[in-house]
Amino acid sequence: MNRRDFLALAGALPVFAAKDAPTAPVAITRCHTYGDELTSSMSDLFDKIGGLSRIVKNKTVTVKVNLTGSPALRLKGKALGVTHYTHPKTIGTMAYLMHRAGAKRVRFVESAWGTSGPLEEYMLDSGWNVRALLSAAPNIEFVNTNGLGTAKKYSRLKISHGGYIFPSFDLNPAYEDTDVLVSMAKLKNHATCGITLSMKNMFGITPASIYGDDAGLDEPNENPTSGRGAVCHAGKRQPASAAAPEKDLNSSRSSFYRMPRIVCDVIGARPLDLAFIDGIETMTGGEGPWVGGELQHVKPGLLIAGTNCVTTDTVGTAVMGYDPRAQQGTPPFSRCDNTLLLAEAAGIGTTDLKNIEVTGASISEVLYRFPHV
Amino acid sequence: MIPVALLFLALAPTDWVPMRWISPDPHSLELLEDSSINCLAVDPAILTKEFREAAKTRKIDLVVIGDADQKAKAEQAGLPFLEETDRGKMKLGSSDPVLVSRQAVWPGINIAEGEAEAMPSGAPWIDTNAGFFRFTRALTKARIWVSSAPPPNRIIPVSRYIHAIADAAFVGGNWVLTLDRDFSQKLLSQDEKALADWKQINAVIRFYAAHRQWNDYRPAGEMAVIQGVKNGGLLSGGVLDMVSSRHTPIRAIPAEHLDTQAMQGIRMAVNTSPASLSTEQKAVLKQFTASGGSLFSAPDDWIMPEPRPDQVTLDKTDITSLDKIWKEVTSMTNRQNLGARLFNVSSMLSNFTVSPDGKLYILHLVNFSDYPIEDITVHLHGKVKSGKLITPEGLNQSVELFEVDEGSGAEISKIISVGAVIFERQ
Repeated sequence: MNRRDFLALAGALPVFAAKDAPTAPVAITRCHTYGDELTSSMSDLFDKIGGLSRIVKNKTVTVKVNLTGSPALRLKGKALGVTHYTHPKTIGTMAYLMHRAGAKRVRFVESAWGTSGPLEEYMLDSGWNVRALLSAAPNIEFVNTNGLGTAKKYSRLKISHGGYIFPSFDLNPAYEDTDVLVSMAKLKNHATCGITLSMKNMFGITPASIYGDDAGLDEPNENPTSGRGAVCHAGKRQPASAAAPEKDLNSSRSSFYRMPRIVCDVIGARPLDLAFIDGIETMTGGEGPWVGGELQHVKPGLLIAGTNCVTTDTVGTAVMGYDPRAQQGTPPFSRCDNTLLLAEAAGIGTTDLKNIEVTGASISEVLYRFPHV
Repeated sequence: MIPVALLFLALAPTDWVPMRWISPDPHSLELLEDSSINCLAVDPAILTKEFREAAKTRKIDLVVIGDADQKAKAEQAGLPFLEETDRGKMKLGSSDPVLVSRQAVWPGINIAEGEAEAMPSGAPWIDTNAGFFRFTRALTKARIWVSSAPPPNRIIPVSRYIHAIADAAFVGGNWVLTLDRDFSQKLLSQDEKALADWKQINAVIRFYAAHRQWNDYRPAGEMAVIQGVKNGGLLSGGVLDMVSSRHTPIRAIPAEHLDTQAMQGIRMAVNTSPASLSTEQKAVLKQFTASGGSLFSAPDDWIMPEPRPDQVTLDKTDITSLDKIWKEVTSMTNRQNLGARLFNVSSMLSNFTVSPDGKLYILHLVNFSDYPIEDITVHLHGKVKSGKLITPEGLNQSVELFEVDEGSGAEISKIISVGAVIFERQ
C-alpha cells in the first residue's frame, strides 16, 4: 500500500465507527449434503432470521447466484456446484422456499463469464438440469445480466456512500426492477480480496458489455467475450463512456486496492436484502480452479444467512477461522485491503462480532479453518 | 494392377486396424488375443517365419510402413508397403486404399494455453488431428492413417494413447498405435498395470472397430468450411478445428470439390479460398446465398501461407492471419443450431454424422479431460424418435429425450473416455 492508498483508507474509516454501523442477526446451521436434508436446513436457517415470508411475500425477488469463471474450468474434474459455483440444488431449494413464502416472481441472475447468451444455456454448459430447476416453483426466470438482454436501457444506480472508485454503475435493469435482492454465495477464499462471500459475489452484477475487457469505448458491447480484468481489477482502461468513469484516475491501479473498494461500491449501488452463504461443500485457496497455489475441495457442512451482508460476511469470515477486522497484511487480507472494514466505514454494516447476534449454531461449533492466504 | 503382396491378405486394407508391433517374438502376439488390432507394422529385417505364421493363424496382416526407401525391403519380404509421408506429400489423388502421414499432433488438452491465471479464463484448447482427417476424408476415399511415435525416452500415460486413437477414429481416421519403450517392455513382461492399461486401450479400439460402418456415414452438420490443400486444409488447429472446437457440426468441403452437390443441406458456409475458386464455383456460392444460405467469404487478399513441408499446425503468423476472419466466423455461428448444439462439453470434441440411408444420426464424443463428464445436453435440429448411448465400457443405455425449440433435446448421463449416441430420426 502506498501513502496515497493509506490515506484513502484512513480517510474512509472514521465515517462510521464499528459500534455505529448497522447490524442484523446472522443464522448458522449445520447441513452436510445437498440431499434430502437441504430443504429443511435452509428453511430452518431462514426461520432463525425471522422467516422468508417477511422478506419476499408478494414481492419480485432477484437472486444473484455465483457462477464465476467459465464452466469449462473445474477443480480436479469435480462438479462446479461442490467447489466454486452456487450449487444447483440450493438454487432449486431457494426457488421452492421463496414460492412457499409467497414470492410473486423469482428471477435468478448472473453475469455469465464471457457471454451475453441465455443464462439457461450457461447453466446447461455447467452440467445443470435446467428443466428440473424451472419446475422447482412457478414463475422462475433466469437472466444473464452480462449485457442488456431483452431490456431497453441500462439502469444507472448511484452509490449511496458516494463510491470509493466509481460514483455509480450502469447495470441490467433486473437489479433495479426488483423488490428484493438476494446474494447466493459460496464460502470461499479469493485471490484478490482474501475472501469471497455474499458481498464479493455481487461484483458479478457489473455487465461485461460495459465493464469488460472488450467493452466498447463509448457504447456497450452487447456480445462480450471476456472478463473485467482491464477495467475493474487493473484499471487499465475506463468502462464504456456511456457509463460513469472512475472518480479519481490517479488512484492506485493495484487490484488489491481496487477490488475491495469496487465490491463496496457495488453493494452501495444496490444494497442486499438477504445474504446466503453455502458452506456445505466448497473449495479453499481461491475462488476458482484458475487460481494458482494449493486448492482443495472441502466439506465444512454449514449454511449462513442474514439480512445485512456485512454482518453475514463478518460471521462467515469468522467461521473460516479469520479475524473479520484484520488489517491488510494479516490473512486472509495478506495483500489486499479488508472489504468488510471498507463496507463498515461506508456505513453498510458492522464488522464487530460483539454487535452481531448469531442464532442457531455458534461460530465456534462450526469453525472450519481455511488456509492463510 | 493389384500389387502381389495385397493378394495374400486376410483382410481388406480399408478394414485394417493398425499398430506398430513391439516384438519379433511370435508369442508376443498372444497380447492380441482379444484385440481388434489386425494389422501390424513390422520391421522386415527381423521378421521370422514363425512370427509370420503366428500372425497368419490369428488373421493378422503384416505390413511395412516407412519412407520410400523401405519399399524395396518390403517387396523383398513379400509384405505390403505403405509409404508414410509429410501431410503435404500424401498422394491424395491416387487409388491407394490407405494413405499414411507421419505428421500429427499428440491430441489432448493444451496445458500451455490452460495454465493457471489470476482471473477467470475461457475453455481450454484441445490439440487435435480431427480437422486434418475431416478435410482429407472429404478429398479422398482412401483410409487416412497418422503414424506418430512417442518422443524417445518419454512415458506416455494411457489416457494419451486413448485420446490419440479416439481423436482419429471419431472422425473416421486411424492412429497407428506406437507404444513407448517403457510400456512395451512392461507389456511384454506381463506387468499387471501395463496389462490393465492395454485392456483399456483395446476397449476403445474394439469400440470403433466393432462399428466400422460409421466410417461410411457422412457429416450431418449444416455448416461448411471451404478450404484448399494449399490454404491450410492439411494443418491442424485451423478453421475446421476452431469451428468444431465450439461443437458446431461441420462439413469440410475442399475447394477442389466445391459444386452444387457438395453444398446440399448446408445453411451456412465459410469460404477461406475465394481466390482459388473457378467461375462455376463462384456461381454455386451465388446460388447458395440467393436461396437463403449464409456465406462468409474471406477477403480476396486474405490467404493462409502455404504450409512448409515440416508444418503440422498453425504457427504464429498463420494465427494472426486467421484472427482477421475468426471474429466474423464466430459471430455468424454464435448460438446457431447447425445440426446439433451441445452443452457441458468444453473438454470434449464431437462429430455429428448421418447414415447413408439418412435414418440414423451418430453423435461421437471424445473426452480429453482426466475425469468423466456428466450431464451433457444436446439440442438437435429436428426431431428424433429415440436415442441410445453406447460406450467402450459396455454401456448401452437409452437417453432421455425432450422437446426443444429446434427439435429434440437429449440428456447424456456420463462419458468416461469416449461414447457415441445413436439417434433414430423421425
